[in-house]
Amino acid sequence: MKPTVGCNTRGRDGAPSHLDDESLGAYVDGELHAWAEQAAADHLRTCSPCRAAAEAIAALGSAARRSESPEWDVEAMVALVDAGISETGAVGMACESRGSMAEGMLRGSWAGRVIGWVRSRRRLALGLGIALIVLAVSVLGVAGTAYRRELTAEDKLLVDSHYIVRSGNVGALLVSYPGR
Amino acid sequence: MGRRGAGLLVGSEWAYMSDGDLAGRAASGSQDAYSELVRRHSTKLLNLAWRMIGSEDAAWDAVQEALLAGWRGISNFRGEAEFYSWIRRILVNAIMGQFRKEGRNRAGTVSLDMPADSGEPGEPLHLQVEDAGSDPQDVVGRIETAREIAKAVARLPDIYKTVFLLRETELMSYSEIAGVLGIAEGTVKSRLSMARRILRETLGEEVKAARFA
Repeated sequence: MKPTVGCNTRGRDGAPSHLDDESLGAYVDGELHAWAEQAAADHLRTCSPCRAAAEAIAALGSAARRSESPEWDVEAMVALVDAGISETGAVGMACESRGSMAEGMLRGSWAGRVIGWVRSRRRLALGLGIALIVLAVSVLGVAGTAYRRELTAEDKLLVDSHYIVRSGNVGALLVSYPGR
Repeated sequence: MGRRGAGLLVGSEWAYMSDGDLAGRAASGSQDAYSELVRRHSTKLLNLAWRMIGSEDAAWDAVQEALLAGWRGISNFRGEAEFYSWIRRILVNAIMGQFRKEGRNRAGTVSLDMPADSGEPGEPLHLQVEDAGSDPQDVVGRIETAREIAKAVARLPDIYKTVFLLRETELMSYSEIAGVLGIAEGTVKSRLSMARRILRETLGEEVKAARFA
């Protein structure tokens, strides 16, 4: 048999040994890799203590599944959850979003979900808003710089002399300059 | 507040829909669809919670909270997993969170001469069956009723009990258990092994005590 971790048929001193508990449990649970499973199955065929231990593990699980449980009033749970939902609000909505007709119309809709999301995550929404503004300004700056690189020296001189350029509004200048 | 009936289906017609369809309708705001999901899965969730917590009232509260959390988050349910797996995960996380709050999330007192739980993924315990202290075949023979098992399981330390229940009553794979509990598969394996060893020892002692009383 191929020697495997936790699956040795013989110990270091050559004396017979057994599957360790973890390997045995994993075998019963069908969680061993194919090669280890085959090795464990080979061992179990010839080792009655390990086979008995495997049966004990399986018996424990089987008995646990059969164990009695209380009688639950499912309809009472349905009613409780219904009542809780009525207090909590619609899917994706924060508790404080109850009330207005406009909100009622939005519930369950795409816009309603967005509003609900923004309300429930105000800090994240604020951060995202700021990030979007910074991104837009950066894109405009890069676009303006790229446009200026394409200008001739004469145009650049013309542009630089314009008061709007000095204020940084390159795009507006190039479109509106009367000499072009 | 959710919408009742969604204007299309009434009464028992919900009972013919799949969980996935119901979850989809619930995500669109149908409270009736969600109620049907609650009706279908409450018993399983309550049994699991009761076995984990050991109290009917606490189990009831935990399941109610999990189902309400499920409603609030139903729009995040993608349908890649079964609805029951998804809501069960919410429930187990909530209970484990409660255990942590109450300081119950420990190995507890285990009267066996080995480390309670290494916590290291994949670290073998190197237990030999012959060292377990009782003949396994004898243990199988002595298990008289499932009630004895239930009592013994209820007395397990929470971290072992949770893994044992998820495996044996929920039939979850090691990787699923690891995912739900946020632990390594090796840790699942070692905790499960420990739970089974404790149960074997406990049941053996109980039977011995009864026999010689």
